[in-house]
Amino acid sequence: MYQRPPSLFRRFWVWILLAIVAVSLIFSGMYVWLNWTILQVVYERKAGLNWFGIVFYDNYTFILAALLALLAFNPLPGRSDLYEVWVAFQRLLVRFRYGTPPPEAPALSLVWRRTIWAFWQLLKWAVVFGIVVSLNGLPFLGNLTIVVYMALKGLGKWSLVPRILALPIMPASNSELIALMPTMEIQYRLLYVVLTALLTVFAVRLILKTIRDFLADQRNTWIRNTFLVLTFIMLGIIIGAPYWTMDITTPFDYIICLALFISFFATAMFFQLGGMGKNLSFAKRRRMIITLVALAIVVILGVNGAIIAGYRLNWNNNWIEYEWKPLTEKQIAVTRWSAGTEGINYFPISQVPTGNITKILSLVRQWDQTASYTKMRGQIGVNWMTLSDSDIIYVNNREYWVAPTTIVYPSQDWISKHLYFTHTTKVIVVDSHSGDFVSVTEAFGVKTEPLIYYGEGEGFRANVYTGVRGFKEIENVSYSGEPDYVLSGWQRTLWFLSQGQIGFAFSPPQESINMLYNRDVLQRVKSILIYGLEVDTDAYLVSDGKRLYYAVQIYTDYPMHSVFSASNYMRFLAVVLVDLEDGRLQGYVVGASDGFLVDFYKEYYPTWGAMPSWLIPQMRYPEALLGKHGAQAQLDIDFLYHVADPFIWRSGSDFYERPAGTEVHYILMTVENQPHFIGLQLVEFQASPGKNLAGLYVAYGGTQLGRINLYGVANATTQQLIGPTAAVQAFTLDEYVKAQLTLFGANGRTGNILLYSIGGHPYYFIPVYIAQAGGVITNMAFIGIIDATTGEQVATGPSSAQAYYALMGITPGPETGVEERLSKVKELFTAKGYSLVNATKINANVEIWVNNATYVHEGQWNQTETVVNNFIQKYVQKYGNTEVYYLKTDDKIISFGILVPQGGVVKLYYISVQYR
Amino acid sequence: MEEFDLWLRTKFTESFWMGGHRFEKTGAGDVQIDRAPFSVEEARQLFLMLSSRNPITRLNATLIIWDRNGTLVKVLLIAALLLLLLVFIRIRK
Repeated sequence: MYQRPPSLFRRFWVWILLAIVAVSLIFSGMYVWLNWTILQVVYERKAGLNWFGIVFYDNYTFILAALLALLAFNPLPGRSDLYEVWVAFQRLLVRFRYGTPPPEAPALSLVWRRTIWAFWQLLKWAVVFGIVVSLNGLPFLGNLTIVVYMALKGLGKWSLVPRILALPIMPASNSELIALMPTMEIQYRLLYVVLTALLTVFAVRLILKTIRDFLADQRNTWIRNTFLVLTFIMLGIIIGAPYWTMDITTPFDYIICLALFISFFATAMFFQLGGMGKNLSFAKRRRMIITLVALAIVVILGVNGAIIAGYRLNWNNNWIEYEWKPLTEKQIAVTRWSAGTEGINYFPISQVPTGNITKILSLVRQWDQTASYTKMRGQIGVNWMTLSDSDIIYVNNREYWVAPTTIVYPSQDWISKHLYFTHTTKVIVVDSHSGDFVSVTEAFGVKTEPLIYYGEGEGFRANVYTGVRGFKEIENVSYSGEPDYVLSGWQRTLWFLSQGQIGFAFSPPQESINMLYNRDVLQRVKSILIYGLEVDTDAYLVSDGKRLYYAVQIYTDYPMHSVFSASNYMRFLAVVLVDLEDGRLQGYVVGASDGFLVDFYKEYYPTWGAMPSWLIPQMRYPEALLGKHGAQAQLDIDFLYHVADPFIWRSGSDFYERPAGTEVHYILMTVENQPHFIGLQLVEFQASPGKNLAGLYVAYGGTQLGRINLYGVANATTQQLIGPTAAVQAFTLDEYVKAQLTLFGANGRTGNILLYSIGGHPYYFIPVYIAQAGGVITNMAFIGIIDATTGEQVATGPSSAQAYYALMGITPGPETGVEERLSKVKELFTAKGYSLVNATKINANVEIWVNNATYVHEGQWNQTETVVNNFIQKYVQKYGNTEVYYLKTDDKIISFGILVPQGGVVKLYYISVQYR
Repeated sequence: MEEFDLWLRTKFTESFWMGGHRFEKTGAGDVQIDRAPFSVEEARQLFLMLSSRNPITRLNATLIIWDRNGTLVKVLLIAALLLLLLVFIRIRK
């Protein structure tokens, strides 16, 4: 009978499948390689960094993975523990089914066995290699490559390893423990991980052998193997002893572990030698020795257990000796070191810096992030841009809320995302005190508003292609900077194939296509960071007066394995500036030398130098390092670990917490009449029913970057201050405020809670805003002030100054009149020795408008003073002029200028002040 | 010792208890102690050890019997696992 031959697919389906898998693997491999090539070129071109060398630790990732993967090797040629278990299981099944053991299966030839063995070993090696490369270490044991790399770079000391091993029985002092930490995290960690891996491999192989022997009913071998496995586990525990929590009982725990290790090993040997023997012919003396050894071990375990129990029974009456001194005190010292809170200075709250009352009141941050953000939304004007994030910044002596824009695609098609919407064009700036909009050019001193090709948010996730023939970018502009990468030839084909763009792959509009790659600034910086480094997700804008940059702050967050450290190793390491327009990156190191990780990372990024002078005043301490609700960091550690007294620690009476609804606020604090850009965190006592203020943390930015002060309530029983939670309650219960909030209904809300010291007395300021849900208009209805000592005195006003005067019950001095304001401005020049010349007309070849200021009420004096002083410093002094001309443009504005002859051209540099 | 030999010779009783261990005669002429098979000579030695005034000798005999009937392995394994668990709990505190 005729049978139809099977179809081609049925005959060759295995080969077809294999071919598909092979092609997919080759394609994926080439795609990964192309991405790596692009990254290498991008970071070499735009940051001067060797991307491959950085992320793969100068190839140590691969070298270490190749070595560690050897652990999967079975060194006995032709043998496989897994296969032997399988065979034993099969034989057991046959024996159960037929009652007799099956005959030995015919063995494969030696050549075949060895070939299959070799292939199996290679496969295991390759799989483990892949896993180790992807993890940069072994599963559950953390990153090992960086540990090896640090050891090779000379961090830590091998000579300290024996001292670390002896820690459980020879405790170290606080300072010695801190000195041992680098070695404990590097050399000892390396030893620990490698030994643990080896022991695990031995244990797994023994477990397989035990199963095999158990199935084959070889009694003594499986018992021996079981005890050998227990021996390895015990050895692993002993090796990990330096990372234990150590109190007075630790030496006894350690002895118990040693005794158990010895007894497990002895038991394994006992069964190896045949147990008590099949007959009783073995020597009586030998039996006696075994029994005595067993008894001795039981006695050691019992005595040490009893000692531990004795200590435990007497724990509370000897708590200081048993727990505080050997454990808690050291834990506090080591934790403060690793968290980087050692340098926090403690002051009584009465020493909170203060200054001129008018000045402080003119700096109060009346606009919070939400209110300013709502207000900014109305300034966008198009449907393809939205605000990415609103950040507080301090530039040119003024504090602003700044929100750069990001792309929001009206259309999700490929051309829109990758060719048309390539950039945004707006940065919205709002004065944090007055809530006034300020132009980017005025705020940052740049000449024009930049085109943002590199930014934050979803809109910058897509790679874009610029200068493509036949396509134009939004607003008809064209990217003028250097591209991140140029795709051409087979790379272009592969790239666009992976994007599903067959046309661009095979018949592109042009041979070479410029690409802007990895444009999200946070991701762009993260791509060059190694283990233990994190970015503060709150990137903000800075400027050198020529260009705008995103400042992405980097800090160390390296896990510490000793229980003595309750915190990761946290330090502010560096800031990386990303140019908004062309994506160039430049890192600057901030962290001070520490003999440990900061030094290591500094050396790892050798092109990162010291910060330029223009950047320092704009710097702030990273919010991610100060911590927030749900993301604990340095301050959260200090809330507990600032305590050094055992009884206060035990009672928890001086532990702090971050009050609900508060976070770190960046504000201007007046210190000796000079504004300082600081991060402020108010704290209450932990679980305090009275919601009292426990203190305030002040993290300085600018020239004092890194300095953190805690102003604490020295004696909480006599110096009671209400906390922020209570301040809000006091404020919202005030009759006027309550009535107003009721009137505003869902449209009214209270803003951030800020504490300012005025005349040495603490006051809370809480603004009230009106805004419709989802609206783009918001107004500050009024601002409230609450006396922090009692919470009973509450006043409101249209501005912080008026609220303060209302609270004090004093009428503010008369608003400076027009002429007085004019005189004050002029005095800024004359007080510095410059002659003012009243000009009716000035003729210059070139007129350069430098800046302007508005001074129509006293609240604007500080800003005016800053603008004038900057002009004097940067122009009048610089060009050596002694005469300054002033000219009243109209009855509201006065301009001050200097004439500078340069290369045969007379230039007029001038500023304008609106005074009426 | 004479008592043990007398027990072996007579058919008065099949089993007796000594130091908490049950001695039984088997059909093949051997002796089972706590269900573990021993030759007559071994049983005699164990009887001697169990009747010794030295507690270590008595403990020795018990260990030999436990080893032969498999109790020693179970005890050791259970004790080892329990101790390991205790150690693990303590070091993770």
